[in-house]
Amino acid sequence: MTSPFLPPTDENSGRQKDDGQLDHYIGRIAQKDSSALADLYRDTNVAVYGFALSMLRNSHDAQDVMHDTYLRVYSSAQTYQSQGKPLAWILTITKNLCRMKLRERQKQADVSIESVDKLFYQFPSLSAEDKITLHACLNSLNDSERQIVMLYSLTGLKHRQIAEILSLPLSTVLSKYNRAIKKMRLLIERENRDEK
Amino acid sequence: MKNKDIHDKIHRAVSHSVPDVLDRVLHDCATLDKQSAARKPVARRRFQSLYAASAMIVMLAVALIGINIQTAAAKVDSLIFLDVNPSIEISVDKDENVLQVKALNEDADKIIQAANLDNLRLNATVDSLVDSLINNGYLRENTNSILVSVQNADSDKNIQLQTRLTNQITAKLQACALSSTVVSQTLTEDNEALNNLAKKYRVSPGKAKLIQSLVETNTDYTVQNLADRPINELLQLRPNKPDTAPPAQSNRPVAPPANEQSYINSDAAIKTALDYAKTDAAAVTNLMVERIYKNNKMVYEIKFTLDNTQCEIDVNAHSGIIIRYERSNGEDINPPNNNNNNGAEKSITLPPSANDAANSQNNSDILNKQNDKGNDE
Repeated sequence: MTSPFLPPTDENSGRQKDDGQLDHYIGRIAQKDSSALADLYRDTNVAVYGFALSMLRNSHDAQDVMHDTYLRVYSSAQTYQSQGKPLAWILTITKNLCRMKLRERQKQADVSIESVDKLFYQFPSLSAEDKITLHACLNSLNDSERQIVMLYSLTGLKHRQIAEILSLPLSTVLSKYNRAIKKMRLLIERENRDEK
Repeated sequence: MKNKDIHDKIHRAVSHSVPDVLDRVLHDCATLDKQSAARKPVARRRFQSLYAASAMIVMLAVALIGINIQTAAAKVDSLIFLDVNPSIEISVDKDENVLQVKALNEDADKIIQAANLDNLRLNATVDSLVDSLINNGYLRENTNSILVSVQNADSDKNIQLQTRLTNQITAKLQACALSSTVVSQTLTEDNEALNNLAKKYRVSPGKAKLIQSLVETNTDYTVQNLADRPINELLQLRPNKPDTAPPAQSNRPVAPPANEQSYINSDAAIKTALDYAKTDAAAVTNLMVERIYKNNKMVYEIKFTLDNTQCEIDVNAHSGIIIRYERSNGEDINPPNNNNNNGAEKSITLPPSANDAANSQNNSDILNKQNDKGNDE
């Protein structure tokens, strides 16, 4: 059994993925190479989970969607046609699964968006700084701002690519991104002041 | 704090909270592989036993399967086209099982990709597509006109399906608190010219029919000009709207007016124009206003006589901004903020041929308001 958390090192970084490398992994996954799936997972899990969390604001649902995303990647890899955007392909799968999850949630009135405090409780290893950041991101930004900032921070994708994934105009993504970053900065600085 | 610091913080925080599901993923993938592998030998064994039993039985089975496929083959019974700006084609069999959902333009690609099309029934598919149109911002509070075109060889079924889908979409939009304009029409199968036109301009035959009717009634419009305009704007160009149905929809049971919410009303446009001319309704004569399509924009063209001088002012029908002010003595006064307004205008470009449309006889919404001096307000 592996550790409940992946090591928080830069090697695990989900940013600035090498598209060629991801394409290569998907090609091997199409040949049912599970080690390639593990490699793809290690390179993209932060982006996939963070994006799902930003859409669902519920860690259990985000975890389910992350699991289902990689299963879908595994079963669909044979039909994948490389257009130089492997991460966008994976994140589009994540987005569609999140939307299905949101529809399910609408039908089940008892399932609600969890509080950020619950998320903190589940992950006691989170530092105070992490908590402030997640609190600011999940509680203070609206849906699209949260998704844009998460994608930008976790994937290294350009605004244009984020606009394509979220099916939003580029200008909207840019303005929402700037607004979200301003909000985040204010909140983090205020929280830090209060902490002191 | 720099932007990069914020990104680093977010990345660090998410990295620290991401659960590890790799083992579960790999386990489930292995299970998937086992399941799919387990199916193949069974099939092979069954096939081998068939061979062993009798070559005749195999041939008979193949023949029967062939006949079965031929009779039960999915046959397209109806085509349904949904147009907003995305143009989508849905083909269904006689039981309304969806056989194919096809994107007819790039916008439609996004809509289909984002829609949940797992359910193969027509009603559910239309619901999902409308959801996707709303989620992707194509149906909004101010722009929510949708054109539904139905094509079936049986005219009764055609109208029945048309009515049902129109009601379904209207109810769906109302449930989403969007005051909708759902316009529907039926199409005939044998209109090859219309189908060719639709293919050429990458629109649905339904939208092509609407455009064709607009072009026939106004020589200033061309199919090329109008092909990429959203339905909401095309409906605004219909002649004699909303009192009479346009030719394209003569057989439709439901023909509500196009959505007006995205435009300011003519009174507001007149007030803006008169304020700009530093006058009021009491001081002018022969006041007339028309809403027309001009220079890629929907504008109110307001004409009046002031101090024996004929004045003409164009007001953007969306934003209420003055676009042009001209007096018959040759004086041409550009609005001071004209350049600043450009960013707010729609950027879709029409060829120059349509740009002078406003000065000629036009078929757009007629909102004439003849005014004898002092009687208007």
